[in-house]
Amino acid sequence: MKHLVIEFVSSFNWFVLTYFVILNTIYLLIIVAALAVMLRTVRRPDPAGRDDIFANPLTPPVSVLVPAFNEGAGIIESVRAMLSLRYPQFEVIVVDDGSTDDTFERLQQEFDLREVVPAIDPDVPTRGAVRSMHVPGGGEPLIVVRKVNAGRRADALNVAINVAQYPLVCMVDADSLLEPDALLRVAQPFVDDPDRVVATGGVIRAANGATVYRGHVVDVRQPKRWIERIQVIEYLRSFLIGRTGWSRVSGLLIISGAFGLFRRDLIVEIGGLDPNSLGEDADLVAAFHRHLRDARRDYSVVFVPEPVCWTELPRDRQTLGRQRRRWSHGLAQVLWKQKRMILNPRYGRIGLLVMPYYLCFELLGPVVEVVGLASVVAGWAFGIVNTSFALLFATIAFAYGILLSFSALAVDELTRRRPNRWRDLVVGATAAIAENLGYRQMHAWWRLRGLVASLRRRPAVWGAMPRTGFTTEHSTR
Amino acid sequence: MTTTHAAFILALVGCSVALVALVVLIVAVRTIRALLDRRRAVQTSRWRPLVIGWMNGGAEQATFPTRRRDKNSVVTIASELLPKLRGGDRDALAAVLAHQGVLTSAIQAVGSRRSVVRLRAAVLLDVLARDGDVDVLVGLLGDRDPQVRVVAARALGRIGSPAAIPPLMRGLQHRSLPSNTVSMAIVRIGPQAITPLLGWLYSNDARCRCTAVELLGFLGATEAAFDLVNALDDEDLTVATAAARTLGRLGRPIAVDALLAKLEHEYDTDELDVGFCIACVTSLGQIGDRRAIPLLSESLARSHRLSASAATALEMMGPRRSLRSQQARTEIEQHQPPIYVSQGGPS
Repeated sequence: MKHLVIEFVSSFNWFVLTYFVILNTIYLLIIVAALAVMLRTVRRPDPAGRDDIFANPLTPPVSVLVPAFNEGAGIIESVRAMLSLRYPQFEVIVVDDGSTDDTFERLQQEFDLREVVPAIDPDVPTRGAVRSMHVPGGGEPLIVVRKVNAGRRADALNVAINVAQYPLVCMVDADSLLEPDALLRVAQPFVDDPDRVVATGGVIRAANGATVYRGHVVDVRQPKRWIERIQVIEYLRSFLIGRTGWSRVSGLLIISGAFGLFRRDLIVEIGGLDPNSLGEDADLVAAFHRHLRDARRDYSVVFVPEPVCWTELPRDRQTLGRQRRRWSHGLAQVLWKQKRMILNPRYGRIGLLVMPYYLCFELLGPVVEVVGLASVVAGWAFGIVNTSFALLFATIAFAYGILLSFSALAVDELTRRRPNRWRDLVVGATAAIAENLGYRQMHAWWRLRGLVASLRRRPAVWGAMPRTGFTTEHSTR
Repeated sequence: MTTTHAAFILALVGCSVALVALVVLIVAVRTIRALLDRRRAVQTSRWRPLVIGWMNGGAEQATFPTRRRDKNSVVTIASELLPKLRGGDRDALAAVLAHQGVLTSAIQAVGSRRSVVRLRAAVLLDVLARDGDVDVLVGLLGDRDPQVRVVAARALGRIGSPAAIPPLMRGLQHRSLPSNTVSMAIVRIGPQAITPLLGWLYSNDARCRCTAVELLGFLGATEAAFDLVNALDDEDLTVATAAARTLGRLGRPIAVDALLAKLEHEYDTDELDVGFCIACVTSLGQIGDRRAIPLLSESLARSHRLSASAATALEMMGPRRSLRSQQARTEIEQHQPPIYVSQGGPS
């Protein structure tokens, strides 16, 4: 028996080592690819000129879709920021998805909403019935739709897609704040290459700790809690580096639900967002890839490596845990649903490289990590672990994790337009180190639970995320 | 020590060195950036009054700093200022830069091997926007760096020479220029672009045909109405939809019969294209011919988006609109095109 355990632990150690080397090599390549893109962006002046896009009569109009469920705390700031976007022609569609708080009442009071007769084409199927539709008395390009909650963000988005009248739809979280030029930035690829571009996304950054004035972020500082500070580093790593790098190799699988711009006609073609999916953002992009590859159409999904959106991060462990379990559950659903694409040459890099990466390293990564930790404990119990070897391996893993986070910090520093305070930089660096001491392991556990929930076919639940709203500056500017 | 141990220690040392290098990089970048920002602020406050002073004096009398660093600062300040200026001030500043050899240096730099140098030269030619540089800029449309090509196209639009239209459209055809850049440059060229654009309505490339159709509408090319009516039958639906939209924008009554026929044909088919129908319906409303009322009324019973467009079109055909369309018709009969979008903006 002991011989079997020794054999297993020894083999598993080598498996973990190989896995670790491959994963980190991929990370390094992504960082190098992202750095090349971002340095090029920074070194050269932007010749396209946003003013040209703004003034161009051919710039396509955009419908901004905002699903809102109990977002009373920050909804007014968010909608105000969206209405003040710099873009030639757009409308904002807020779908109040059966909120039990004062989301609608706040909107009604702020914008003097008047009820209109809802006349909506059922272009994509929806579940929760529309209760009423409202427009502002002041004539702002805003439509507020109230619907029965179906427990799915995707359903609220589908309703908004049916209401949308413009060829491009921008999906935005109600707790997100957009940069004034956000739409111009992400619409630029559509204007430059209208035939091929089907979806674009931009860099999402943490609004925790930032000061907001009239719906715009005016000052960025590190948040007060360590759990938020670590998430800031995580966002830098995955949104700034990860997606820029994947986009560089034409392998973008996820455009964040917090901010993404899509062609409406294509969403209608694929039957709308899947209301059964917890990761409807990844599901949508994967469905685009599959649909367009099946139809042998030339297309591109583009990531704009510029900050366009600020979002509120979970402030406590419970909420964060729920969010990460949901992400893992959602990713498992997407990969299961699109399993035909995995390792299928028909789907090019997405099928041969990106989806296998997400399966092996993003979805199954926590399994390796948690089982690896358990095997070390078991090994010690049986006295078969070479302590110096284990400690050396753990130190390298630790150092490599810090190295990746510091790379993200360095790229951020190189490309940042507004420098933050030295103090914030030191806090960020400390968070990058602290992330490896407990947070990473906790994160692996949450992701594992999400994976198990998806394997057990547990019903997908969104769960509430308590909002505290943004730190608002009331000074007279 | 085993080989594995040695490899691990080597990896650990590598990680540590890389970490230290990253920390040094972060601190250095931040410090250098702060120093550069401070130096830039000092240079700007020192040289800005001189540059502003040039606008009042002749190019020959203008004094130019001799030190290379100061000269670069002055050129940067002037380049940033030029796009914001109009008329005499702009000409005076451009003349000083030309007199001091900045333009000649830019033209020489166009042939540089380094794309960053070529890009800076193109940016300078863009802000100076001089008629004599059209040939140089047309040459830059074939540059291997896409950003250089974009800046050259923008500069050609700013100069406003119709000679730039064929190379710009060819850039669009060969996918070497984004359609946004090409269309904006041609809109800036203005009404002089109409005649060269008419030929592109019959291009083999659907993208070129579509852009030409849209641009003719934005430029108020009423003389293109017959060609645009023909474009309603284009094999590419994007071009046909653009033609329908453009005919509405031009407001020519001669398009009414063709638009009604296309709309009726669409309603008779099983696979109706909503986008094309909306374009036809909207255009009929914009033209304001009462012959369209029965079919627009019928459209009210169609899908939500189509019925909403029909309702808006019918609303536009109300008494006030009829009066406006009457005025527009009179203008057209007198060959006075409506206001160009380049003057009115995208709204």
